[in-house]
Amino acid sequence: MNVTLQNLVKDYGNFRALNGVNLQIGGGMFGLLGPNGAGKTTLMRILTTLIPPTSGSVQIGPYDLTREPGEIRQILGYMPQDFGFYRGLNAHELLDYIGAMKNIPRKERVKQIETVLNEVNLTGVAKRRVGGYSGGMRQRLGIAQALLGDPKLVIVDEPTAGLDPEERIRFRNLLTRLSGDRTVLLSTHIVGDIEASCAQVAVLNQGQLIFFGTPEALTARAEGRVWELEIAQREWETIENRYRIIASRSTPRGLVVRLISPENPEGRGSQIAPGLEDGYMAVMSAVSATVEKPEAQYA
Amino acid sequence: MRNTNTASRFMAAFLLEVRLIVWHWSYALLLLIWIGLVVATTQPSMASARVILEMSTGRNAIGLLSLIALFIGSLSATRAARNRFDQLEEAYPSSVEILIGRWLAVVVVLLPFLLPPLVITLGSGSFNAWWALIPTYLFEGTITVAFTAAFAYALMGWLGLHRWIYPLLVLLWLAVTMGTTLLAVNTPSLSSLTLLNFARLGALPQTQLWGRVTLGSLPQLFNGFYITFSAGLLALLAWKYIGRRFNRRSVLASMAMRVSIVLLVMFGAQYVAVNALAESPMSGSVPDSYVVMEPLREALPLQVADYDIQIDFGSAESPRYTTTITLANVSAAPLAILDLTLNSSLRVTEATLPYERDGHSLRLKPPQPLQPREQLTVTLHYEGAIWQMLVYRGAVQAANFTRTDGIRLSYSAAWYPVAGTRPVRISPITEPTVTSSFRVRVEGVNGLNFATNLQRVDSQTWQAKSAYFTHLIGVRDLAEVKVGQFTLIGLPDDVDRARPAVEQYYIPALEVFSRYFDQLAPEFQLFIGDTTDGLPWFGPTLRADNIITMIEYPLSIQSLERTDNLDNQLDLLMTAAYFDNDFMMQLITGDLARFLWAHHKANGDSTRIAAILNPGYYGVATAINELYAREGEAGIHRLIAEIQANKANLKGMPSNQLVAWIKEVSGAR
Repeated sequence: MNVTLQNLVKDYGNFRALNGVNLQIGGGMFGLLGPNGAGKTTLMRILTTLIPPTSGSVQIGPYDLTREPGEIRQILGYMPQDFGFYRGLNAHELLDYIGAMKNIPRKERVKQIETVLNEVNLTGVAKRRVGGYSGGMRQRLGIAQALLGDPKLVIVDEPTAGLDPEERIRFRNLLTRLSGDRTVLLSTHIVGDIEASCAQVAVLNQGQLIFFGTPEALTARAEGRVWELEIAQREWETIENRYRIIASRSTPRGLVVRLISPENPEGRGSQIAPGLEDGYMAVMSAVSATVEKPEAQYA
Repeated sequence: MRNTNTASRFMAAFLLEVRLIVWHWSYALLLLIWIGLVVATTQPSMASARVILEMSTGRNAIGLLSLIALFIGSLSATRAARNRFDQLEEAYPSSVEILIGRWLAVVVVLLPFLLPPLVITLGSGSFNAWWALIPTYLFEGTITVAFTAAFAYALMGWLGLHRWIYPLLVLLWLAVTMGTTLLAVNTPSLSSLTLLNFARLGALPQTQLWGRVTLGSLPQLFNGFYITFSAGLLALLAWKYIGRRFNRRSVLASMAMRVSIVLLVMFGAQYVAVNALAESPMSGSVPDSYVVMEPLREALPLQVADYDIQIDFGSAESPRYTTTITLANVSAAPLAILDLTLNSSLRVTEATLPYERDGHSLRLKPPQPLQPREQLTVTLHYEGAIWQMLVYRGAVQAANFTRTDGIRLSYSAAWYPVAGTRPVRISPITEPTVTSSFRVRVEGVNGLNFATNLQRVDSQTWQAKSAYFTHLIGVRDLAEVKVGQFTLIGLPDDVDRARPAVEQYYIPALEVFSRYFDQLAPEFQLFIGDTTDGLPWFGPTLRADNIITMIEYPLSIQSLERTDNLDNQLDLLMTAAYFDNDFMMQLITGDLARFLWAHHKANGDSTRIAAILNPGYYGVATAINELYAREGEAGIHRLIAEIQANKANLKGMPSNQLVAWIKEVSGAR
């Protein structure tokens, strides 16, 4: 299922949330990265037909999003960032209702409910009221409802937010396993989620697409720019002002910081191999360098 | 396939909403409280099923249920948003059918709330009467619930989820239900505002005897208005929803909206138009036609000495009258033109004298002038339906009407020619004080049972030697039972209920009265109805024939044993029977009645009478009792004779002077 975005714009009054986004999404897992407020959720909400774009076009498979939202909903599975269920119902009742909403015939519905509950490992608690579910169970039920009706396009918005590390890993694996021949659009600000599962990734910042490519290509953006530097505690402020620090850890002698810099920082850094997070930060740094105050940036 | 899916989604949304509402603990609790409330506020033994369902508990239940429907509708409309399920749901390939399904679920789960009043009334009167009331009661309750739920859905769709909406709903409900009624009651020209009273509290009051007959087309227009209003709100909801979700305008919803608006305006305009035709009472909150006012005392040159009226009600909505009247010239001059008043709705088709008709005026032209003390007999044929409306306590209803399902011709309708020319208004009274002999016969009764305030001759004929204020009523389910001196007229259930009370309280009390007023032996017609039934509140209709008409509220039948109720009734009886219906005499007759009532209760023991009477409150009655204690029954006889001899002086005398006068009469000082 191809998703094509052309010059997509979304304004909320005077605020432009999306600014001319062009994107081509193919099959498999697709990651959408960006900081909070980058426009990811707005893009998700447009793709799920919840809000209309201000201008531009979106083509999902054979359907135009503006003209054929009903058809798109028929092939769509969506798990929003912030959602809930009717707490008095159990998972089975809830999925039965959602299955009816998705036009799944009754007999087929029964089978699909069993299948998705099994896939998300909720079969054992299917008759328990969802009001008593943990956060992870609710997220899994969220993905289960998205998978009902065998949608060609699944959109998940910040699915791992609020989950503990173990739940997060399980959830990522689940998404990867379920992607199969579907297009799964995963929106997140957690780079690790993308790294582990996506074949393609896009980075949004302040409503603009600033990167589109493979995770490897994103990682490559940081090639030769990731350094590790040992500093004294008193140097922290200076280093933080000059460079974009990705990580830091304390040592008996002071601190070891991982940072991005086009040149050897302070002439005493050790170059290291970049990861996806470094690539993401490098892309974000480049945007900051052009958009924010130049004098505040590192050389 | 698409239709099947739509139906399937509709049903799924409906069933889920029913499940979510009904299986919540608050629903069962609310229903229990509701049942308790209905039981606590209903005293089924006091009234018929009609009174309970259409005039008291049933109406209140529908009204209060509309408030509950507003709340549950709002909660239902915002349930998905409150549970953060809305974003999920919006991404499903569903449409407005889920909203409609939920709205319908709200309506359906609230219908059981209409049942407690029905169950309670099951034992109130005959099963058939109860059964006949059910469809209308449930239909109108459903309309109100459906409308308020639709309104809540539309409001929530517009305003969204906010906590302040709930107090706003209460204020809105209060403003509409109370505000419109208050405005309509206090400003008769705003009586059409009752149309906005979706809760039906105080709007379209029905009557005991007539039910909805007096309301004419208003209930249908009211119901039509709210059915189309509900449909319009749902169409608006659908139109907005489809527009937002599918980026297109729904032709079907748009058409439904337009049709609803047209029908809404049509029903509303007709309702207002009907209201505009109604006449406001000249003064006071009670229409003049419902009470006996001081009769006109003008000296008319022409009098009608005798009426012989035959009415054929067989021709559906246009009864035919054949009325023979004997006219008498009571002036000193010959009369070339004989001026009469006859309701303009009645078309004169034939007369034995040449006549001119102009509005309510009927001018007969005898071949020769009618000489002083000469009499002339004229036969008039006229026909036509009468439908006169008035605004009563802010609500419009018919005061006089001839319909196949009910007939009410009070004296103000001028349904027979009245001497003189005067405007035929529901008020003021249109008859002179002069009495006439009457004979009234009805034919083609169409299943109606008739009653008048004349002496009954047979099932369709009444007559009297001397009467005025003659009225005629025809009711499908009317009973007439004679109990002692009382003829009870009313709905069978009410008559049955009134009979033991009359036997236990009225008749023994009347025996005490008769002991002191033995010169007359009045008969009483006790109409079990209320003033809104349009009967004269109290009429000395046949002085010569000694028939006194009075009305007893069905709801107060069982409180007849209460002193303050019965002595008032006896007071009225006595004033009518013995003091020429002179209301100025009520100050003394009221206390005399109280004394006599206490006399009856205390078996003539003056000490116990004094205990029953509150000396501070009933000073005149206490003074009478003091006279009784000294002189016994002879003293009371003497007092009554003095009252009758000094009527002119006693009229309107303050109570302290009355006490002094009684003491003076009794020689106590």
